Amino acid sequence: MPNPAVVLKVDPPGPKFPISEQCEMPKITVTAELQDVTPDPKVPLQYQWKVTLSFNGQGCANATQRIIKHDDITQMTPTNKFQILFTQVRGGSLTISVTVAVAGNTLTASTKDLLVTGTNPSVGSLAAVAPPNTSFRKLIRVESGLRQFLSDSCPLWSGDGYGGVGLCQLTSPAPTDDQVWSWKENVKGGWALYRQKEAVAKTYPKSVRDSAEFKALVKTYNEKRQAKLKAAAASQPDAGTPTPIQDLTIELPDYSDDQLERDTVRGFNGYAGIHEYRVKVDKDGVLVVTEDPSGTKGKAEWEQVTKEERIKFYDQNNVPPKKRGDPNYVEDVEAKPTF
Amino acid sequence: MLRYRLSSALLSAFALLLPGTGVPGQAETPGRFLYVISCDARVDKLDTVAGSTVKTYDLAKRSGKESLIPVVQGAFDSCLASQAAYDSEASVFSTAVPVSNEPKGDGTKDYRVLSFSVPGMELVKQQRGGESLDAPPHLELQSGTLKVLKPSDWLPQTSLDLSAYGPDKTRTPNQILESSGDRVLLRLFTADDKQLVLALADRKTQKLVRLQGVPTTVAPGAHIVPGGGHVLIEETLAGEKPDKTGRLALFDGSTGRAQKELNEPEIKDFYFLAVSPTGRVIYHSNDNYRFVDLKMKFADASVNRPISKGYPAFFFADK
Repeated sequence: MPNPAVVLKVDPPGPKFPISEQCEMPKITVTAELQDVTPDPKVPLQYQWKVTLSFNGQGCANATQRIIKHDDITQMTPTNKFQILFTQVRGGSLTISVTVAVAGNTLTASTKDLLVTGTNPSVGSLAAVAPPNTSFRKLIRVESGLRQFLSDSCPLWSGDGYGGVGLCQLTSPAPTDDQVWSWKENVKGGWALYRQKEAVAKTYPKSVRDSAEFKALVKTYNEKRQAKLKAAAASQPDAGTPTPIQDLTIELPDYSDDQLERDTVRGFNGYAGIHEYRVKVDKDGVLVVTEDPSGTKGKAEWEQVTKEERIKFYDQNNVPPKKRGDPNYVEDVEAKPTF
Repeated sequence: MLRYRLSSALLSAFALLLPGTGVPGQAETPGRFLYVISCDARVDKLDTVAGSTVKTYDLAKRSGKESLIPVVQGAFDSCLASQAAYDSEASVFSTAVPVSNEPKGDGTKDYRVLSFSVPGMELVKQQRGGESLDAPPHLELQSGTLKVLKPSDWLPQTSLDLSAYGPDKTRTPNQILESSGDRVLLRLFTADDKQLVLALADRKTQKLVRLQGVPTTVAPGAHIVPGGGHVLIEETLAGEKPDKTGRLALFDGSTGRAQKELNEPEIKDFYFLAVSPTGRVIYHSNDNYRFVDLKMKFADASVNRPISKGYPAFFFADK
């Protein structure tokens, strides 16, 4: 007894279809073959195709509950061949279905266990795409070991469970679906974040100069200086009428290029309330100043916040461990080779 | 009149039985509860008498459906809550929060000022805190009205003109470390810039009292108590790394002499937070708190620091 059916043949056969190293989606052609049924040559056939591609993170280390889908593809064709044209870079479970009405039968078929997988870039490919910024490139090494994918079926999710992903471990703002599956988009997003943090780092010295805290430090430094100079003048044997002592104008310089870069790297990991540099003060909290020989000006300086001091800040300000980032991040980045 | 008295007494008795207003039969203790607002917008409520954490609130979850405080996964950018201006009359505290964790293209942020009820921690008011600022606005309560100032428009008083302060009536250069009530804890600058000279100035009586026999310490280790009647000194080791020894000395503000000493080795690895009106010195490291009982009571007055960097925001409340 005839048993009409439609059978799908996929080319290439799969079951894995890798996204190329250049982030191009696989080219897949599907053929629907009719079995045990002869179509009426006078009635044109219509093949209704549907393609779904979805990733739910199941089986992937540190994946969140997030579901990432390619927009469903539906198309009607008069022939039994269909080439899937993906419009987004996505991976996950691929299902291709066809429905065709033939000789009074509505026949359907679906594929099973097909996967669109990811491909990590080679160092050469990455070098061709990543902006030529040494710190940014080193940072990618620290973040991901230059990997977008942990395995061909799993993006590299951050170990903290916060949904950071890929080469740049983009976490906040939450990575887009493109940044999860396209390493190029991930790098692009990472670079945008880096530039954003660079803008923050650039404005930071001015914000400190304008701050009440710095103005208070300057005022206190000048008070201390007054006391010392007054005492010194009074101890002179021929001390006459004391001349008024002018307060020093104290400059806090902009960051050097190196400081800017390090503070940007810190920002990439998250300042968590404290930048990579702070104004240097002594143990009593008085500003450290290098006085100009003219006696009218002085220069304050930046000091790098050590890992220990950073942890102390976090402890003092009740920043919970999961919100701190890596206290030694900048040093970790600087220690890595570029590519 | 009798009727008023009776209803007043009934009301008082009823209030004592209400949940959250105190233990039945026990009047509210002024400044008993300490609220600590962390950099990531959590609030720890501590009972300074019981020496324990009562509850922790996440302000981001108490700001309604609008997500008025950014919810950040992992390390955040700048602090998600800055300052705590507490209005004890209205039982409301206000804090400045960034509109978003991510800065704008020019590195600045917009801010909101959110006000929460105490002790309910319900959002009662929100207002703009300033646009395109490179630091959070400064909040100040002036006669019960909350003022929101641009960071560049605010400059705290950092020294006192001592020329009218007896007994010396000399304009000694100084630095305000902390103040409470009419009293101001000063660091006096002298010819020897290595020497730490501490004094308490009384704005009302215009008197200056120098502390005598102060143990080895650093300026950040000197603290005025609420009301300004005493000064607490945390002894440190000498040298460039002033680690705490665990020894505390309490100085009488009217004589300048040491009144009490305590040895509390366990606070060596903790950070000073505050002295409560109930007479406890509160130390912490992250959300791990320690309470040292001075076995004294102080006025229910706030302690002000010109610059409060290095401390989380906090305030004391009766409830």
